[in-house]
Amino acid sequence: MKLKQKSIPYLFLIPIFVSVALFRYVPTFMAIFRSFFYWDGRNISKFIGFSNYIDLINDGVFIKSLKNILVFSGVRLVFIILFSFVAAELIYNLNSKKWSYRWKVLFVAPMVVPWTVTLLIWQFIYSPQVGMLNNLLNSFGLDFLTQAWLGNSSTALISVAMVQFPFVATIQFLIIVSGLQNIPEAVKESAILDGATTIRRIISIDIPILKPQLILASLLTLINSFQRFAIFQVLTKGGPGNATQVPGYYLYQNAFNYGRFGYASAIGVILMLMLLAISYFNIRNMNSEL
Amino acid sequence: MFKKMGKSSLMVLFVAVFVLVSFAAVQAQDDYVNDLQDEVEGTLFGADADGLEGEISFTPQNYYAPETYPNSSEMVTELVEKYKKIHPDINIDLIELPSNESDSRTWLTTRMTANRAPEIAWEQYYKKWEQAKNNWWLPLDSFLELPNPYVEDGKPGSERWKNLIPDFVWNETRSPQGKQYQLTLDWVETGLYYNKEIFNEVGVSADWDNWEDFLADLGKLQEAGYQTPIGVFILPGWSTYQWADDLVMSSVWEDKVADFYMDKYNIPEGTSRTLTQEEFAKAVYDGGFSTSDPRFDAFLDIMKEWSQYWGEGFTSGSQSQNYQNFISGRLPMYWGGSWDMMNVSQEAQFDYGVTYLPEITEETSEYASGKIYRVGGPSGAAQYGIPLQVAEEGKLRETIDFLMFWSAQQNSGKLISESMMFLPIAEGVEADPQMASFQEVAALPIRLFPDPIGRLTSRGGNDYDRVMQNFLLGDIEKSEAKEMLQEIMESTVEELGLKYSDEWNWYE
Repeated sequence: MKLKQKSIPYLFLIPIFVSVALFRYVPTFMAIFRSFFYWDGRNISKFIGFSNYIDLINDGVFIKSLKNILVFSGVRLVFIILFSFVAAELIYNLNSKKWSYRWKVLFVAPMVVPWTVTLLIWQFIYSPQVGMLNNLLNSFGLDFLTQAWLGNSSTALISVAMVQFPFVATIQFLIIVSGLQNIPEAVKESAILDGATTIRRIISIDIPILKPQLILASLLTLINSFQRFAIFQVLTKGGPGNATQVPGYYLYQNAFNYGRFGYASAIGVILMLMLLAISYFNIRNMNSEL
Repeated sequence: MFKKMGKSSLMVLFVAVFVLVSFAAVQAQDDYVNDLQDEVEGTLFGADADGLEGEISFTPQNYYAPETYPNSSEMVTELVEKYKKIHPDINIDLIELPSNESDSRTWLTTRMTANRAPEIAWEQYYKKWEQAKNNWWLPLDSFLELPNPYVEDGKPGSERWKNLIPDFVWNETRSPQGKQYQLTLDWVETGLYYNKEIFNEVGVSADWDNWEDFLADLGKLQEAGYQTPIGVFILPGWSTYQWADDLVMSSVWEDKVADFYMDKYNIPEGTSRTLTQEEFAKAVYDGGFSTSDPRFDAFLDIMKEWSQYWGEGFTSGSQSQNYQNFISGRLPMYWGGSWDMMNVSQEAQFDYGVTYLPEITEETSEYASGKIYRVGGPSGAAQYGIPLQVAEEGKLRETIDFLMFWSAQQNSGKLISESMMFLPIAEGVEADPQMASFQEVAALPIRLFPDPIGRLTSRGGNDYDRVMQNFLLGDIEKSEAKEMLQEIMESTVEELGLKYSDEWNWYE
């Protein structure tokens, strides 16, 4: 009877476990399995061993896409963590609780805006003819800087990476804010008593204490950036040339445009392994800090 | 044994075998129809057909997009209601497709992969040829031989459904294997919509003598402050660049194209046609079509010069952006499709006209044919195919019946004509007079090269577009572009050669 009672809560978890297994693990294992096949998505399926992986290693576009995603993710990692941290610190240091709450709401509110809408707004911002960015540069007399931001090979990738400027990402921001709120008040007060400036306090106290939160926020940013696909689909289609080609978009093209589902599965598996490796090192690092 | 048989006996035997083989071939063609006939007692199709029931999902493409094209969407809904009055047990589920072709293809691929494709689905005819290789589409040939009971007696199509559509359309949509995978009911054309007020203000005319005259006017418009005088953009997948590529390529290679034609695709003597994928592949394989040919240099030079007038951001633009710029008076000229006519007529607050590109003559290149071509054809919104899985699911009879109803002149013919997006092609259906400019374009010679995606593959075409982006932007030199394009063409031919190894016997 006692055992039965104890097991009841676990029974309620079954639907969740089944859903996770069905929609997360099964597709993952299917993709690994299919990556060893020449598969057109419907009828033709032929086992070809590691051929897809060998082809990927020799695929110049895929290699280029890896380089691009590293640049894209690197830029976004630095800016998102930096700006989210600065925003969190500014709010944390506000004396008025009411205003602190209002600012938090203001930073979290963009989360409800559909991503596609955000992208279409940025497409408009970057438009060479009517775009806000070029108009702004013109109005400051910097017309020599105006250009087709998404249409030039040299500026396209950075322009895509700068989407969502000033980069206060909601989840990362909330993680850092909650970390700051957990710092004991006594630590802050003793720093003030010792005559530490705000900057000194942030560098010497907040950042070391927030290290686990910063690592988690970085990890989430990296995973999110690596998996980005829609931003490239909407803004550049991977172009000009392959200037903004990334693995996520290349995977999509191979599967849905070229009918090479086996090859696309192999790209997905490589992407997953890269993210697992990054996650592993980050989590290990985080555990060693705790 | 044969020695003992007389010559006449041998002849009889030969004729008997020939008749049997022919009969078997015809029999195989008619299997679908016969299987259906075996299952059903009485009338197979039409208002008198019994036992038709179930749900049919249908993607009428542009004709059904309630937000974008409310008028035609309403007409589609009315037609469906009309059909339901005839067959109340059939429910027609109308599906709105994503607005661009690439997303639409992604959607269909997902549905096909999951065995949940709509019963009547839209796809480009040349893509159907590629996909039919993967058993996606049902050949419609046997059904097209049947009478269409929804066509009024005495009108083309009433005795033989195929007669509803002129032969030149069937010639274009026939697959390399000689099969028809779709019923085409409309014709798409392109044209240059231009703002007459801007043209008058700048002092240019839309009636150009030749390509040089056209470029000179584009230059005048640019000097007058219109940085982008004509909206052309290039992206992997579909973009108006595809049309530009086809036209210029057709002009400078015209003298060689006849050498690339293969007998098995032949059409009446003296007429030209678009190269098939196999013919283009063979031309590349044999070395007849190569980027080292001076014609290819001429092609690249013309494209490069023309692209100077496409304005900043031509590698990241979109057709909807160009359209908006045209409607708002920022773009003097917009290369659009006949499908824009209805919206332009409703939204343009200025006097507008529709014209077309001029001939590319010897003044531009020694290889130019002196002609301009149409890029349109049977690749409009009414290209309806039936996924093979429909036959497997047992919904074939209902699906064919609805398609017969839909295709009749008084139904889709009226819809196509009144919605002013495409030219109707069913025999006996007239186009709206406002579409006259597009009818003139439709009378031009057909382009000789299909889009890069059609002449190569989706992948090869996309790679080709990416190299052209780099070349037109000046990221790479002409020599590098030529080398890269040749490599793309050769690897695509290799891929296709392996895929069609059982049919392309010239490929070793």
